[in-house]
Amino acid sequence: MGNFATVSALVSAQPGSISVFTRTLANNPTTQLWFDAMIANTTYLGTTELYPAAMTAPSAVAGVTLSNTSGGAIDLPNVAGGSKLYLSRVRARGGYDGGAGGFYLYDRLIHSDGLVSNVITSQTVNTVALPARATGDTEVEAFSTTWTTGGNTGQASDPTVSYTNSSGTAGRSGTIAKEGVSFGSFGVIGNMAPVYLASGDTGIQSIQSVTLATSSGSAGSWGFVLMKRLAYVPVSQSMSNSADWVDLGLVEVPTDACLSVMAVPPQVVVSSVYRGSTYLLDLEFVVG
Amino acid sequence: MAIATLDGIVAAMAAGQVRSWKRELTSDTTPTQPAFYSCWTADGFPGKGAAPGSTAGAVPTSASAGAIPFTNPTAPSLSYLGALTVRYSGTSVHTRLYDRLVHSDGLSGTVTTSQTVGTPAITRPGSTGTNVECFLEVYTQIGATAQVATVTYTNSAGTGSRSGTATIGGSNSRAAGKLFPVKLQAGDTGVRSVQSVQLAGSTGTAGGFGVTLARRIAALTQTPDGVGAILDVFDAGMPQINDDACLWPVLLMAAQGAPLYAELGLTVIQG
Repeated sequence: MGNFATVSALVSAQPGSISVFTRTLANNPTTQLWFDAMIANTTYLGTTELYPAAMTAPSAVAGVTLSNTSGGAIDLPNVAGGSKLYLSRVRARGGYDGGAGGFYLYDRLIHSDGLVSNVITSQTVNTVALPARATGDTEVEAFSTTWTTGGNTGQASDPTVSYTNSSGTAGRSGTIAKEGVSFGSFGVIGNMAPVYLASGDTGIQSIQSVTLATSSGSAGSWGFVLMKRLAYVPVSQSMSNSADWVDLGLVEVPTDACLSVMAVPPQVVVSSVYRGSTYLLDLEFVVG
Repeated sequence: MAIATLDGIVAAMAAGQVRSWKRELTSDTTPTQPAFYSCWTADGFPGKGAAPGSTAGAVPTSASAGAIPFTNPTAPSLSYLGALTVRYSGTSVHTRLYDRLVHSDGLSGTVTTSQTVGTPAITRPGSTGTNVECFLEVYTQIGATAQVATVTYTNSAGTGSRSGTATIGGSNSRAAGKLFPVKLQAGDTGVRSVQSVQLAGSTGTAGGFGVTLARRIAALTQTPDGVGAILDVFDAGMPQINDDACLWPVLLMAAQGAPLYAELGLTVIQG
């Protein structure tokens, strides 16, 4: 159950504490697709105005669990026992060029790397167990993410993923959405693509293996992110937007969440870092 | 009991069920005119649904594959839509969130005699069919020749042998996932059940299609390319979501462009 029982209690909790998230685009990744704004990325994210610091690759095919103390996680305010943390407002500014689609906020539960994109045989993953805050959760999603540049040859068909579903049934078969011809850009650091599930499944407990349809042409390094979606904030190009607690559904943020951002990037490639292509997010939390 | 105060809304939102939904759009998503698209059997998260497997049809619920799952409240509490967000790659898309009440398949795109349907009774509240919309839904691609389908149904007042129509098939209007609203007979406001469907002529390919009955919960439009939209609890009018409702997004896509994927988030609140 939630802890806010009245409007007065919510008003009394204002103003909340604010955490900031800033990334500057150096070049734009693939248009209109999900983009991992958390990872080290000197190609597509600038080296200035990078707060919090970028996450580093876990160097583990099986991945590592993440929390609010993991490097690169967005700061969360302290919450005393019995209280809960809620996202009460997001102020966001999109990139300069093209039509930015907005930002997704999520709890990053596990991330992995060490998979290569130049083989079409099965690659073992066997992700570690979900952290305690997600144990038994039936709605955990998975995305692929690219840590180190691979090749640019696209996938001929959706890569297949063997996973254990949220009921604990192993050997389930899903796909990584190649999104038409766009996915397969293992040559783009930070490109993400969702894992689509077998009919009847609502979530993922762990991933056992993955098989690509096509070699990208170069190994690179990529992995999976297991996550729990929290909110979406739409933002147009060069525009700001503010979503309040009503817009956000007063979504609860687990107190030990590794709060993270996926961006839907602008459309037009820019050649250098400049202020006009900066993502800015102010995240306001209330405790109740 | 129901949520009757602002305090009740706040308390319910603080305990909301946040859900995520994604679909990859692979059928002929470049319509020459605005067209409806059912994402029921499209790949995505959660896993896709399946064709119902019978001409007579079945009653899908929140536990059915393809539905957006949620947990029913403890009686006498009720469920409401607490928030809805949408985003698509590509052009403007209008989204409607429905409770998918009844669905059937097994109808042929080449049979020109009357095809019996006989949908089962609606089980959710409002079972008389008030404000229930009727669609013809393609599960296996039908033919490239457009035909008028005459749908014989019982209206929400319980009057049988009513007659509605929809034009199905044709170029860019025949792939799996295509959804055709049925125009009701003058004076009718809803459909309780469907008895039969008859095509005026062959579409050219048998394929497979069926009847879907659904009640609208909310609607939201994404306007600029690739920039999503939010519908909050007040804008939505706090519509009720019945226990076991089969939450089913339907897309009305613009005449140009081809969205590659659709993404939606919603919050179910209870109290």
